[in-house]
Amino acid sequence: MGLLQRVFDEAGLSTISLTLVREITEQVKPSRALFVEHPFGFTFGGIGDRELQRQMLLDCLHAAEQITTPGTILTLPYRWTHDNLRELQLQKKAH
Amino acid sequence: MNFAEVERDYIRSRILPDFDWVTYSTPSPVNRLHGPVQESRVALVTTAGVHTTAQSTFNLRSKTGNHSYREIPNDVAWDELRLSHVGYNIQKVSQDINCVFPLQRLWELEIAGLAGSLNRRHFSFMGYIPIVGPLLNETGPEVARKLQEDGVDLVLLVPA
Repeated sequence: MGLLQRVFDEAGLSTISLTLVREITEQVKPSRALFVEHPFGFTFGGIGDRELQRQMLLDCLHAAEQITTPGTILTLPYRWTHDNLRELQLQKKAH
Repeated sequence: MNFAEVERDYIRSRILPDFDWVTYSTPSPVNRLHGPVQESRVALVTTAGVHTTAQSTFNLRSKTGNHSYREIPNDVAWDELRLSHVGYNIQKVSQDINCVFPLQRLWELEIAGLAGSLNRRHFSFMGYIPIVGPLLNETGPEVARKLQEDGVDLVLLVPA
């Protein structure tokens, strides 16, 4: 994701991204990103969580207006509480 | 080990022995919006492997990944969207594709006047791409040109 964002940044486009893996984004250094500790596949939270989807989109739009420092990664406050899927994914024990 | 190291070792042991992450020493530039987001044209770019029933699926068998992309019309019929990806549970996420491609919520934010206008098309990649040259030199710049031709003010990038 960050690599593609860099291509868009270098082309002059205004971008904002979400990331699920902070350490990879720290190495790729796209212009600006929001980190959220959700499992792969559930970037915007659980199935049918319309309010969280809406709120996270508003967070992205707000960040696109506010962040001006290249390489910024802000952490969103949301937590995945359904199960331990993210922990298993981070150990390659689930997908 | 953090996930980047776990994933790197996994790819090295099973797929590409010389795989490593691409890293940069300096960040890419922030291009500021020209006006308020409510007056901006917004496009969604996902790496979740979204495509329509009329489009071909992403090739998931290539060890070197798949750098192709699909254009998703903003007025797509929602029930025609599908997922193809090796890195997450597409069967589960297919129950609500907004989890990785929240276009229905963007439609609502547009109507509410909170998200500016949505571009006539959005773009989808399949994020497993260990060989990144073709993405960085071919399809990435191609999509950037299309976004510029469309007059897009803000690109929102969503991984899976």
